[in-house]
Amino acid sequence: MSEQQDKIPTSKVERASRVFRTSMKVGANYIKHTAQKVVNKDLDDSDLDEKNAEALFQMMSQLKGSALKIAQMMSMDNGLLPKAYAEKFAKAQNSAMALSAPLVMNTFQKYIGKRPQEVFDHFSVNAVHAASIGQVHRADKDGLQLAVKLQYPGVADSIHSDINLVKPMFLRFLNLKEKDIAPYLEEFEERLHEECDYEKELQYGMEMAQFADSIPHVIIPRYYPALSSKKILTMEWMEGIPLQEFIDTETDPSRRNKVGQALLDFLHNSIHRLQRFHADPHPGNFLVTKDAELVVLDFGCVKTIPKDFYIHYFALAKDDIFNDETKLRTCLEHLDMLRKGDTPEQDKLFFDTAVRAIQNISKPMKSDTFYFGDKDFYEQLQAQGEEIMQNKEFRKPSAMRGSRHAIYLHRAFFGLYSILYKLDATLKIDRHFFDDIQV
Amino acid sequence: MNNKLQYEWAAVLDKTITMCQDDEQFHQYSVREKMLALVYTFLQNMQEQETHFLEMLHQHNGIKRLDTSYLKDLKSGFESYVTGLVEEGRNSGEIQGRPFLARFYMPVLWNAFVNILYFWANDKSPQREHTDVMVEKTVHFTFDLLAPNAIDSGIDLVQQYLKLKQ
Repeated sequence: MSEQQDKIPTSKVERASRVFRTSMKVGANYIKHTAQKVVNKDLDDSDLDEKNAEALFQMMSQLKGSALKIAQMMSMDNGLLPKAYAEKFAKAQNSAMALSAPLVMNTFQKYIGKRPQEVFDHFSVNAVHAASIGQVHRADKDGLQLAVKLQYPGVADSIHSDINLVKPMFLRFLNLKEKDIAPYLEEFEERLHEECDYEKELQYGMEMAQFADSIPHVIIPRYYPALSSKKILTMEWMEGIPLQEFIDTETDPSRRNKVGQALLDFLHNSIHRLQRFHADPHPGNFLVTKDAELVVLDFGCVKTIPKDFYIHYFALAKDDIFNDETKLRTCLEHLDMLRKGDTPEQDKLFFDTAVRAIQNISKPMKSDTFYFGDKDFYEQLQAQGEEIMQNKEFRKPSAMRGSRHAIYLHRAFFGLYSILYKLDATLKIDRHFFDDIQV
Repeated sequence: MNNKLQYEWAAVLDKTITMCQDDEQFHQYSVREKMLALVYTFLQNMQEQETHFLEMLHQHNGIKRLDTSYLKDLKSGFESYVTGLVEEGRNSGEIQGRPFLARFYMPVLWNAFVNILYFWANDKSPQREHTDVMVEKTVHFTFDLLAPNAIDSGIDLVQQYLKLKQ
């Protein structure tokens, strides 16, 4: 796979031809499947999904850039892709092309108006770290250690065309009409555009740094606006080991709990107090210092949820809501889980499913402490996810529902929980956030 | 008139070469990187009189591209400098010396360069960042052609075959 992901195919024609080839493959699989079905009536549709998902995955891994990001996002919302592929996508790191040294110079000249040697006392021409849309260089200036992030050219304006290229594939694959998923695509596109806008990231990073001052054991690097632009972002260089390494090597449970608590507090506080949060909490975005403090990097993917959505969503985390069905229904309608025009059967199905999902997901919020290493908790979530996927009702277009704002909130929780699970942490749950929520 | 135009293009190249030579970093680059730096710096210098150069390139768009007389001075300047780069590349092993094919090296590099100029002139992306991508891809492609590659093993194979057949 890494070989296939070596180069970003940038020309539109090249990309289009890849999408076309995959479309053909999906079509061929469908014909093959139908033919088999005539012979063997018991054949299940999931076999077709598997084959199509594989074709889709092959294409996505060749496209890289924002297309891979879209695939990663689809896979985070469990259920859209078969499990095996969801995992593959989640892991797919694009070790993208490195910018040549002259292009690094050229980018500086274009966006800062000076060469890096003129801006910094020292600047490493070779990148120390590569990410999906840019690369990181080390620099120092006036004794300060700095990390300088540079964006690959052409990434930002290929987002829209990438989405338009993969859209027909997804619609076909998921058997949906464009209008069913339009709000979600819009949400993806909006986030991806923000991720490519380093000025926005600078603004969020500085805001979060100020906010996180009050949260114990959370450190956010200092940002330098004068040395940043739309394509270049300069911040303090942070010392620490990658969170994944900490997870793999740390043996002291109290240090593991300390890091887990910092992460949980950081996300809870920003969701409940700011209604704006780091929507991409995967281990690659965190470092751990010698004192087991958590360093938060990368504010490219930040989601702001409207107050109205926030209230109706988190009202569901309170126990009393289940004693008041009218209120519960109001919330679910607000979150687009229930719809006015539903048939009684649909209503019952979606209502029951939603209630069970809420009870499963909000389990950690119900007590003062929670053990996040609890396997049963995740197995229950997984089991319900599988069950939904198996149910044909949920493959119909009418089942494509839920507020667009929930996508990144779920992504944040999904990322948070999977890190806390790996940390095997037992954490204090601050429940006073829910006190003021009133529908 | 044409003489003046020719001179303007050549002047940008002279300035570019001086800037590159004066840059400490430039001398540490591989030949491929030197070529990249040369093109980026050239475009950057052209940017200073953007409208003027755009006008000239647009006047020669389409079929008129074949008439490159207005780039004559630029071409000879480019060729004499890049010949040095190719020589350097041959010494460092980055570029393969091929008895028959080597005479096409310069036309390949020159045409690639002119293509980039026209791409630049028609690039509507913000800060012309698509041109940056094109430069990167074009230089990598041409230098991959010039580097030791499958062609050489192919030639070697044919030679060996003919030899053994005798």
